[in-house]
Amino acid sequence: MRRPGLWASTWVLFRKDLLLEWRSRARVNALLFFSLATLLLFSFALGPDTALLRRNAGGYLWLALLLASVLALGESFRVERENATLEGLRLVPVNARAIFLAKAVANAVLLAGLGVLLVPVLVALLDVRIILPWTQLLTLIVLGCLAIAAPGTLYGAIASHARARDVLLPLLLFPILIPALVAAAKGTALVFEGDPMGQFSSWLALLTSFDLIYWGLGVLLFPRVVEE
Amino acid sequence: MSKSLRIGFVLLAIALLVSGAWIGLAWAPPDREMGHVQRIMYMHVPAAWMALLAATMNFGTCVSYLWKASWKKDAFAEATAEVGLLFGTIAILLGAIWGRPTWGVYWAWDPRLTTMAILLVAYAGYLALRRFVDDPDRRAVWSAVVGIIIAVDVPVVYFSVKWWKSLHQVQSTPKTVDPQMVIALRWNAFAFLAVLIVFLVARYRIAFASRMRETTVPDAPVAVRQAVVS
Amino acid sequence: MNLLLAAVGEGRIRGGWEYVWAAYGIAWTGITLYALSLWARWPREETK
Repeated sequence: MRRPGLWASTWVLFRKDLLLEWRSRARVNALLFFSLATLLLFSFALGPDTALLRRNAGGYLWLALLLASVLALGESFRVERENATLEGLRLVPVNARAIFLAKAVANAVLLAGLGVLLVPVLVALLDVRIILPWTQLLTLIVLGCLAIAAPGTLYGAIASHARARDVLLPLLLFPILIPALVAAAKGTALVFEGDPMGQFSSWLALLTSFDLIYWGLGVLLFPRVVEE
Repeated sequence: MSKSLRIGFVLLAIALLVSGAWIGLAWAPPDREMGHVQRIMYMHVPAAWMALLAATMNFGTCVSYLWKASWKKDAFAEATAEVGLLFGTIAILLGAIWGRPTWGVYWAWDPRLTTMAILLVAYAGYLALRRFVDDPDRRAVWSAVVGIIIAVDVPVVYFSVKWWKSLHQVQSTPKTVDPQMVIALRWNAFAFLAVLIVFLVARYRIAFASRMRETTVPDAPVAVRQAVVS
Repeated sequence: MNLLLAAVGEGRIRGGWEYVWAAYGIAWTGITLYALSLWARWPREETK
């Protein structure tokens, strides 16, 4: 039997992952409510000075996404592990890189969707304005979620087979993500506050470089993670 | 390596460290601006150099392991991560102590300090991963993957003072620094290098012995165990 | 006001030896404790 091509496999697996998410909408809803709860927590813990909250809104958004991503990534691999589906896929044989690309993109789409939904919440809760064009905000959300998804998927696969996996995933992931977190949060703050000194593009450049490096490493190294 | 050679090297490391301390504390002159507080540099900078050196060695070993697996490489990777974390922690603590009288703060959110802190927490995660994976083969492969991912930060730490406006000093060259200070710094750098080597060799031995215990049949005669070693 | 700017004196930060001792102390303590931990973990030869 001819081995399925990389992009064909990726597309099929991507649709499978999205379909799984859609079929378990309750889980996605739970993620959304978790993120909302997180934003509320930040507001209560760091409020009630609304001016201060508004200034830090960019940071809160990305912290909420980061915390939600740990849950989403953990779930993403728990499903695979419980049904031994990764091993099944490897037996077909499916290119491991396709598994990575599909899962990482699916996770990124899920997180980006979450991010987009949280923006109006921020507008309502913290009275933020969107000063820069919304397309720039969207770009930032997409690139930032891609940044979380690549190492997140790689580490999610590793952590799902280790002990203390719920602690291990964030412990491994968070330090690595800090540069992307800083770039995304600062960029978002500029979107909300205005960018008189034209710094947005440099944060975007940092985020883009991060994405290129870690997606490259993910595609390169994921096969070693799932091999027997 | 013969036992007397090992002991000799350990004594050399101790001698270099002790003499280096005297050179840094008494022989070297006080700084024009910072006075005696500047003497912290003779411990802080070598510690930072050794941490980055260990991190670089970890990266090389991880890549090498993925290329061709061997328990020796896995043991060495474990050693470099732990010893690198030790020197990195010393460097960052000493940096904080030095920062208090000179910058006025123990910590600042600038690129050099942030990326160094990231590196240390990342290696702590690396060591936690090793502890939480029981299967030696998977542990070795996954540690190698994680080590490579972490290593992306190493050049960022090193070049951060050049790429971004940082509170931390840019790398100085011997041309701009008092010659006595250069000697003091180099002496202590060699002292720390000797300590690094001693620690790496010892930690490697410990890790390798652990690998052998995990992977070989306990009752097999020593000759069989030697044969299993790749 | 000190007009002798060319003479390299003690530096503008006077004293500060407590910082120096704290720093050197931490470095030596760290190194010593780690060396002890290595000695404690040293593999004992198994009986053949």
